[in-house]
Amino acid sequence: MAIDFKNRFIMLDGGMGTMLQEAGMTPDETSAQFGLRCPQVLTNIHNKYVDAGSDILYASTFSINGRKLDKLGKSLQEAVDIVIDAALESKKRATEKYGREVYVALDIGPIGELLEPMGTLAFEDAYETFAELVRAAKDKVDLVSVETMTDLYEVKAAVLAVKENSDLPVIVSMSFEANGRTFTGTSLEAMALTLTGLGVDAMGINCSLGPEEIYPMIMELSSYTDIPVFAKPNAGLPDPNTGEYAMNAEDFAGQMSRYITSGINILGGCCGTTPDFIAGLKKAADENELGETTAQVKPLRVCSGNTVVTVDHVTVIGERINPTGKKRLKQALIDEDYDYILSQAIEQIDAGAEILDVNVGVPKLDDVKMLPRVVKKLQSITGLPLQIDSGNPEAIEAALRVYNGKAIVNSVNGELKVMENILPIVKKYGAAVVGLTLDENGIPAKAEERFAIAERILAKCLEYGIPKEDVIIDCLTLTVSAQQKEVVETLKALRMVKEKLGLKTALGVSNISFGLPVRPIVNRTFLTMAMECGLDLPIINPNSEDMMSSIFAFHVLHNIDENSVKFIERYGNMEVTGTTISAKSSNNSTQSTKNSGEHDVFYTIEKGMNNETVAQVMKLLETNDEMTVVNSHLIPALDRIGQGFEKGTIFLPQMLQAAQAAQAGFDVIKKRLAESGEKQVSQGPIIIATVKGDIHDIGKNIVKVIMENYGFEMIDLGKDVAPETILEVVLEKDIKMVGLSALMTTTLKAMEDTIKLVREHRPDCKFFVGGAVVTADYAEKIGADFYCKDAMKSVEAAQEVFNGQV
Amino acid sequence: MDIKVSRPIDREKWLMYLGVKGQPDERLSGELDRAEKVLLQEARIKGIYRVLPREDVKTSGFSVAKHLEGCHKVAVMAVTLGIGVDNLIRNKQITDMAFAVILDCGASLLIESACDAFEKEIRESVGDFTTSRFSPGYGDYPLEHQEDVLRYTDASRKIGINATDNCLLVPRKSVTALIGIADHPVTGRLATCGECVLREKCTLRKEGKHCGD
Repeated sequence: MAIDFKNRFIMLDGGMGTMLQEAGMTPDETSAQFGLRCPQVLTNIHNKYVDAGSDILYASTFSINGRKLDKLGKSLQEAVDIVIDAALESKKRATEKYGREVYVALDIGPIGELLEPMGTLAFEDAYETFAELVRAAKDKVDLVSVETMTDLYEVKAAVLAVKENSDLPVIVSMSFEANGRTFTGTSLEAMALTLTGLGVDAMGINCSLGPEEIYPMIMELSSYTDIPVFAKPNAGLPDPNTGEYAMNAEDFAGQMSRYITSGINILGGCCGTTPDFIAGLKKAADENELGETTAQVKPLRVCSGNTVVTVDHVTVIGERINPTGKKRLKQALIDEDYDYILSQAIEQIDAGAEILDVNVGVPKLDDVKMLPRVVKKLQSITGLPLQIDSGNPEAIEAALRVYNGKAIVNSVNGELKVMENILPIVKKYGAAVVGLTLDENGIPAKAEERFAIAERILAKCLEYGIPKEDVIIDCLTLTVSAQQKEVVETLKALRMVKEKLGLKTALGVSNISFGLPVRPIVNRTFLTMAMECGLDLPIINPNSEDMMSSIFAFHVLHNIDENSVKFIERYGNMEVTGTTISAKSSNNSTQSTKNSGEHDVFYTIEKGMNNETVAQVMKLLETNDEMTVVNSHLIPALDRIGQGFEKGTIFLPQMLQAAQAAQAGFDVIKKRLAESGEKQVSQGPIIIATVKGDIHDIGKNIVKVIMENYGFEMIDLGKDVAPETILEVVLEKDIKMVGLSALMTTTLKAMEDTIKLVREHRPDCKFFVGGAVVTADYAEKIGADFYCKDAMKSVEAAQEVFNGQV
Repeated sequence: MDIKVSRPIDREKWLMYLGVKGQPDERLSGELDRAEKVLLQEARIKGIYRVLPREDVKTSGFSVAKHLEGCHKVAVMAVTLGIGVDNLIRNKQITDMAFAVILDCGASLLIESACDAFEKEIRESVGDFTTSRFSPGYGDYPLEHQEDVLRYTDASRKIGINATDNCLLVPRKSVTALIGIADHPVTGRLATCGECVLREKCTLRKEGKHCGD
């Protein structure tokens, strides 16, 4: 029988840990070990909770999963069976003794290893860990409870695992600190948005705090969602010295009465609570009338794992991660040069983008593989929500799956087949979606026709269960130089969608001005017109201060930016210079370097001056070709820094600053070469990685930065890299040289294993190794070709291998 | 519980960790100021401890046994700067490697002073005679005991410290340690090079120094 989470009071159970300790669990046992040793104790505890009034029993599976089996001495199936059977005993007894239906939940706790990017556990491995647990238990339990979670990403893996491997209801609770965030930074709102989208049956808060601290949080949570919310607080706060909970059952019930009258219909207790607490709570539930919660109707909101963006103002979507017309980015996607891609993201964030569009559309590039990879990389460095930009349903699904939070999908259109392919995916992962007002017949000329398509898209979204506020319409910008008459149709359609359908609108803006002079003026004017017609989500280049300033001014003029606070914050110390539109300069670079002073590139690099180095390189390029600039200026400058470092006159921070300045110079050259289609200047490629089991990567990254400076193409496989992964890339990309880093005595073995494995297949592959615990003797012993104590030694090793010079 | 670190990050040690000899130039000084500010902003320093009977604390190895000799109880402690610092350092490695290295060294010093502050609090609250702290991975006390220490303190649930399957702590800037408690004066005993697992590889030892110096 289905459990009604909505229309009745449901009593959960109380703490397990305290009860187990009382029953004889030793400090050296986990609850799982003890439960398997004494399943009768579990049944006894469950019985006490049934007697106290619990409707749902959490089986003691909290710390059981496939990654912790070695300590249990049982197979996963055996362990799950024993512990769940103990709860089922109690369920049976409840029917016999009270004629009452009690439900048993598979209890899923955190795996105990943090997921990437914070830890080393891959999302896919977390999913599989949960999935096998669900498969082992699904025939016996009535529901699944995912609890005490602190990482929304891990929660997502668990919820997908439940939904894709069973038909069971799933309820989720996370643990928050007093500041309303989990240890990993998840906020209540991000949790609510993401889990509402994923379609859980109830969501709540457990552990960490007592009823008093959790009350305002649970009310906040209930304001964000229509899905039932629940609470399992601890028995107050523990004594810092003894770890014991001070609150008694009566006080607990007293405080929990507020929850009931406020409409929280699913309650229980966590650490420190016992059957007495649940009995008291049951009494409070009988005596108090259950109130009602109301979710506030909110405009469109999207989020990452820790940042929520509410679209109640003109919200900028950064368009720069899209290789269309950008050769350098295209090359970076092909080379999987993530540092460049990420630098594009960071630039846009710093410029004020609130959402980032992600498009990896390069011909012949497998976007099903690439889009999720880029999404993972982006969410490792930014909290901004992402807009997944692809027309390929498979790529969209792969990206949404690994996305932490609630994303936007860009896009569907009025074509039925497109909607039928993509909308189910949007619904499954709880995303918002952009609908383009075009269909199989192209873009209609008239506003009314585009509006009709928007109506069709909305109807279809509603049919699939996507809420109205998550539907965004893009009325499509046409190029004014080609279709001048139709520009006003776009604006008219936008206004109609906004006013008649009440939907949010998006628009790519800069297409408008193709083929015209002074494009920024045209773009900015069009943006302003569109905002006045109701544009919510301009998809623009946020690095254009022209555009950004128009948006900030718009917020002031519309009284959205009250007292012009944000406007003044951004522009208070600025002035407008050069508003005049001047005659074209024949040579852009002359203009940009004319104020650069007289320092040469040696000086600017040595002093770590990024902008000045760029200016110097551009100046040098006026009279030299790219390779001359590299070989006669940049590399000698770096050599000088390197010699200084060896001699001890230049220290690590300065060397890295110099490297960054040089890198800025190299980027100018790379961009020029990418645009002219000439061969890249790099040598290599060389793999660099921190070995399996080790997560220290800063030293490895230093080596990478310096080696890149010397023109070596570095393939950075990251940290905790398995020997097999390294071998795979060596074979796939025909790698001649591999650098390995290890910082722990315990992971040195992995270094040896990696060299051994790769050499079995590629006896001539060269290895250079380094890291705090590696010594020259050890390097020789494990068959490495070079022991490199620092980054400069690594450069020398690579030069020897690739140029024969030392 | 939250831990307050009253002293700023030790500049002299910071420069030493960065390999800088002599006085830092103006730019570097400025970077250190900026790094200290963001570190203190991003760090959410938390600690948890539990006092257990000596026999309930599983240890192995000669050095820790020696350190806890004569102690009838052990305070098991765990301290972390929180995941915000990890995120900060990871992000900075994309745009500003030099600053990331400065942050990383600064964070290592900050966790040490957090441990000192917390150790002091523990000392005051347990009253008895105590040893200095001794961490898994030190001497011949294997890193594999991180898991036990995290379980004793419930540090994963209480302050958000997790271990990878190779026993490295996440957040990265986290420390666990044992402090021996006795009813008579005890000093504890630092591991000697002879029993240290790092003895063949230690760079300090080659320079004739000792990590307790």
